[in-house]
Amino acid sequence: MATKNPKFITTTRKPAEWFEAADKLAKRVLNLSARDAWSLVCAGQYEGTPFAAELSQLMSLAGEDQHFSHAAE
Amino acid sequence: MIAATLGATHSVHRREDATNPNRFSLVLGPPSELAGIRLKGSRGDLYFSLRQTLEAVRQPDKAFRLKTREYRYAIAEDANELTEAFIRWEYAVRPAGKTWCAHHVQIGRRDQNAHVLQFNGQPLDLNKVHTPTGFVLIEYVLRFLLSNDIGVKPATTDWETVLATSERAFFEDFSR
Repeated sequence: MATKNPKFITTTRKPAEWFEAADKLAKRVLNLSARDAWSLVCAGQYEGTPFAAELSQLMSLAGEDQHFSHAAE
Repeated sequence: MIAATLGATHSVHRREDATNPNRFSLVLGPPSELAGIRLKGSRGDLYFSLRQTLEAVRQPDKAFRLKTREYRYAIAEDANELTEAFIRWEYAVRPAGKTWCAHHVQIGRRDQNAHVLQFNGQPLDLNKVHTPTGFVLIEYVLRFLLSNDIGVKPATTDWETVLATSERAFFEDFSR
């Protein structure tokens, strides 16, 4: 059965711009800077929450997740 | 696959680093809706979040191979951005110093109360422990949503064929 494809949207930004998006998110949800919020998330707070998932993705796009070791494949 | 299972109204967003086009993230639904897309199941409304980070890696034969670097599939009861997902499957980068299984499943707390299993007289907090799962395909989670377990109504009648085809492609083409 033929189905329509979902809308596919691409957003390309420089790392600094992704970091700005992370900063905006952290301020909106927690009234913290991205780095302060990220420290809490890395320490285990907000684990499992949509906020932590989005912040994690934005910080990864911003190149700010260097303190993580890559999982074994 | 999303169109055939959950419907074509849901958008898929690709987010790229302008300085590294080989690595990108995918998000189902508008990224601004952090809890994911809203669905209706047999137990009521729920929110489904699907995120992946992928990287195109050059192989010795100069071809590129797409590798999954991270994934997170989560089901939540509401759209609260600070409420833990009811259940979440993750393939995550391990923080330095941690030794837990990278592929795992976790069960979120409810009203601040953790779901615990008593194990040798001590509680095992299912939100904290990283119960191993192996690599969980999107197709498996979609099947979970569409089966009687959760009871989301499929968008098409041939959703099982679509999932089976996609799974076969993954094992035959993607994971060689």
